[in-house]
Amino acid sequence: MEVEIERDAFSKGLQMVQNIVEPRQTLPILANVLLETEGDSVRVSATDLAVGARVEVPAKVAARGAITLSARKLGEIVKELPSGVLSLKVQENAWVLLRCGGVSYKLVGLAAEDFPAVVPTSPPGWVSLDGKVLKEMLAQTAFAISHDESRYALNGVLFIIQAGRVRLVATDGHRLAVSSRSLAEGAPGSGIVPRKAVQEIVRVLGVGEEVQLALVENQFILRMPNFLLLARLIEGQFPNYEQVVPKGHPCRLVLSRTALAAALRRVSVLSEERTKPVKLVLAAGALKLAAHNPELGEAEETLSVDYTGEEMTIGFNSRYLLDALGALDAEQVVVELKDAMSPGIFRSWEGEEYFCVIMPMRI
Amino acid sequence: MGFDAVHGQAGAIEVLTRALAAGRVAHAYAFVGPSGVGRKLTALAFAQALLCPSPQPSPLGGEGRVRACGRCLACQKVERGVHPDLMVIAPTPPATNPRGTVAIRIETIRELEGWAGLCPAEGPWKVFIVDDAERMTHEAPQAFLKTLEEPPARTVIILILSEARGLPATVLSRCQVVRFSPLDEEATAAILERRGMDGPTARLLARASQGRPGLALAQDPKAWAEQRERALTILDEVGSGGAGALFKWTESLGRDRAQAEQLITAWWLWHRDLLCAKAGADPQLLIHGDRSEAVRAAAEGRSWEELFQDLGACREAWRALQGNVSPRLTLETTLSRLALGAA
Repeated sequence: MEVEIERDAFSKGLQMVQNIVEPRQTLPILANVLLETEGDSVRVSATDLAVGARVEVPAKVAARGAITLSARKLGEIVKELPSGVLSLKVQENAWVLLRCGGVSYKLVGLAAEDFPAVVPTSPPGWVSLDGKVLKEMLAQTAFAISHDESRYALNGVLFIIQAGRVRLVATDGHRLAVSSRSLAEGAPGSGIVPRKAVQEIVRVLGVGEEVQLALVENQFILRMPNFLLLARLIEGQFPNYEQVVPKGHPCRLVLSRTALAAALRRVSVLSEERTKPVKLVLAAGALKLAAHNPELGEAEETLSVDYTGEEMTIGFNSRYLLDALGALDAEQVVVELKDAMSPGIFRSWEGEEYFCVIMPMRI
Repeated sequence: MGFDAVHGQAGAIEVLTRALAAGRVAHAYAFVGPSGVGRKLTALAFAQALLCPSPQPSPLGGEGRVRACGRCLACQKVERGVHPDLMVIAPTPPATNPRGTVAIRIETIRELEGWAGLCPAEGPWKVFIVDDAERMTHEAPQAFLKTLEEPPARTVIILILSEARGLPATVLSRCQVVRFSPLDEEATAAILERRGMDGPTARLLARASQGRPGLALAQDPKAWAEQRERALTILDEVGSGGAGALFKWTESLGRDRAQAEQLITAWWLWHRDLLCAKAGADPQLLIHGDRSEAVRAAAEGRSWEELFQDLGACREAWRALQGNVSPRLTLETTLSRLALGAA
């Protein structure tokens, strides 16, 4: 293999895939990135076996081929190189000669054959989505991903593409976040995308550009111009979340999202640290938030709300409420409640695009 | 690789190929048997058969496709140990101390469970081989229970261990146990000869390794002979030099667990020969056949009871080493019993 690449483009490409490389690896080759020629470009791939990414960088290809090099060292080298053209040439015994201006490196490579494939397992059927929208949807759900590793099916975000809609769902058993948007058209599919992949997708998504998604057997695929990200899906069945979404709650109140969030933050200062409980007391025209802690004292704040129903009291983990409020961007939030033992629903005033179901706490 | 590379374990292979042929692969297996008889080789062959996209029918007939083709990319990746759907776990020293006791720790088990929770990367299955599974630390088997009982779909876990009692019954009861036994002397010697050993050495090592070709191949025959000589020298020197000689030896040897294991085995084999000689067995059966005179002389000087006690001491020492007792302490106790006649 012998190629010439623009240093700036190469550096940008490396940065897009480099993050995936884990410092502690089961296979030594996974500490490397794969460089392979493809038409008039070089493909740079990295994988940790769970998430893989591949970027294409335009290059002048003098001789075709493939090699792997230490991701960390290559990144460090390219970062320090001056702008201009750099050349890579594979020599005998997987030695790689890297030259740029007056600088030259002779690097130890590893043969490319053993590098795990970063390719779709079957031909994907794509759906298109605005990158910014996808990023927002992930932000609206990712906080609810479970950290309990024994319930592995909950350690990711469920993607469902169906009937002209894409829907993302995450739950940890205490709360459930559902975000959905309509799509132009696309191949149906579903799968649970693990947390690490979600973080990686959020990291590579820019603003405003169009991205394409596909769910094929065992894999989630994200495609952007010159870029491909593949993630192994989580094995197993996501719980039937629709069953836990309550319907027809009688108490419905609309209030300012920022005012509620600010009040929650103020009151929860005195909540017990581990579960951060806050009591919500609802009465005609007023919502009282209260917290107490035997060692510190008590706090309460009353917000005026447009509410005419019966009086009721319910407790929530204030962190869960703040996460849900933070995931909304509308100014008005709709809260639907039934009684102290039933989960509450938090949704935006404007539409059905997002809601969060939160289990109450006994207080 | 492949099942053809495994010799003398027809029973175990039959169990596995039947499961493959019937499409009824258990989610967890325990390969139980002495080390060096082909447990890991069989596990890898089984993994290869599971991961091969174009398996071949068994040459013995039957409908199921049970043999890895050995040629495709997946098969080669298994052989080179780089298949992303195959994970082999072995005991490691603690992260903070590279010279510490090797064990399979709870973090490793958690990591395994994380991988098992993902869909396969390339093949139809994910295979996890846990070598030396009895080296799991106290909490590791507990943590493993749930996954062993009900692993995520398309997961096969193979535990390799030398004794069924090496793991809690709760772990083993969740696995299908496949037994492995030592090979007979002929078969072992044949394997060793195929690997380029000359006839007499192969025969000697086949007997000394007690039918465990893997063990016999693990070290060079010359080193093995030296080791044996040294074990007997130590026994003699301690016998004549008393406690002073004992402490001199154990001080230099007592840090190396692997070496302590080899010494204990060598002493055990020596006493086995004494017992054979005392029973009037054919000198052909002796492992120390080259010094049959010395064996006979030594055997005459011992009572049956003494010999049984000595063999018992070796066995106890072996267990102690497996149970993580300090090698130095084990060697001191054993030597004082074998050479100084302590109770």
